[in-house]
Amino acid sequence: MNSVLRETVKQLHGCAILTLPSDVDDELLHSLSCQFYSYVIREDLQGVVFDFSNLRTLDCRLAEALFGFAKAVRTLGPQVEICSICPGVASSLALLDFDAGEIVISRSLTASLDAIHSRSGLER
Amino acid sequence: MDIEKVEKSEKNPITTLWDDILFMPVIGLLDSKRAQDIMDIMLEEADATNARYIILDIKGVAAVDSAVANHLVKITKATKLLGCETILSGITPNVAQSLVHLGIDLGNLITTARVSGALEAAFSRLGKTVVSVDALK
Repeated sequence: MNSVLRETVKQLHGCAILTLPSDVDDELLHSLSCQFYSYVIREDLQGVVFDFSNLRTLDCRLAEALFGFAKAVRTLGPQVEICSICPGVASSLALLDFDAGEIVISRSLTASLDAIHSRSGLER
Repeated sequence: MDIEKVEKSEKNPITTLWDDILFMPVIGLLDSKRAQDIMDIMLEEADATNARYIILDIKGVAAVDSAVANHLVKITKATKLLGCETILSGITPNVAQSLVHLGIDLGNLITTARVSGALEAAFSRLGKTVVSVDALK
């Protein structure tokens, strides 16, 4: 695993947890996504959780890029969930009419992992 | 807690109705300022309690026009981003007709006429059910 992935991705019970850094921007997202797609294919993951807990602000454009990243990962096979969006970010995105589409959003990392394992019929 | 926040909370009370279920009745006029206050309170409470459902009862809202409907849609979108689904209760026949005539798309939002229906919907999704004691005898 290269340095960007090593700092942001952990694997637990067949699921990858991608914790987005607070300073995520287009450049970092591009670099991260390119490497992460290969990682998802290589590891044959059951699920991927995008953890937003470090993000305190998020504009609509970057939110669209992040959700687009999540949707793209889902097309590679694993179940995808987003978790731990803070109230401030949720409020701003709603006011900007941001549409999360069909991506599943959970309250916490635990809730996301439980949901993925429950849908897969696996025990943690 | 500052005075403004106390006033906001007094005007817009929210309470835990059951594990994972919050309840917020809205009474009076719903303008954009109040909609923002309601959204802030719902998001804070959903985040603090990790609730999975919020029942937003609008039976006491004076009038539901397209602006109010848009506020409601935004509130539900915001809570959804926290992983907490809003169930809209207190929909009267007049409101239902207005929403249809205004062409408001409530998307996948769960709506019910009564609070009990909203609670049942939340229970059902949480895998819970209410049964009569007699039925257990």
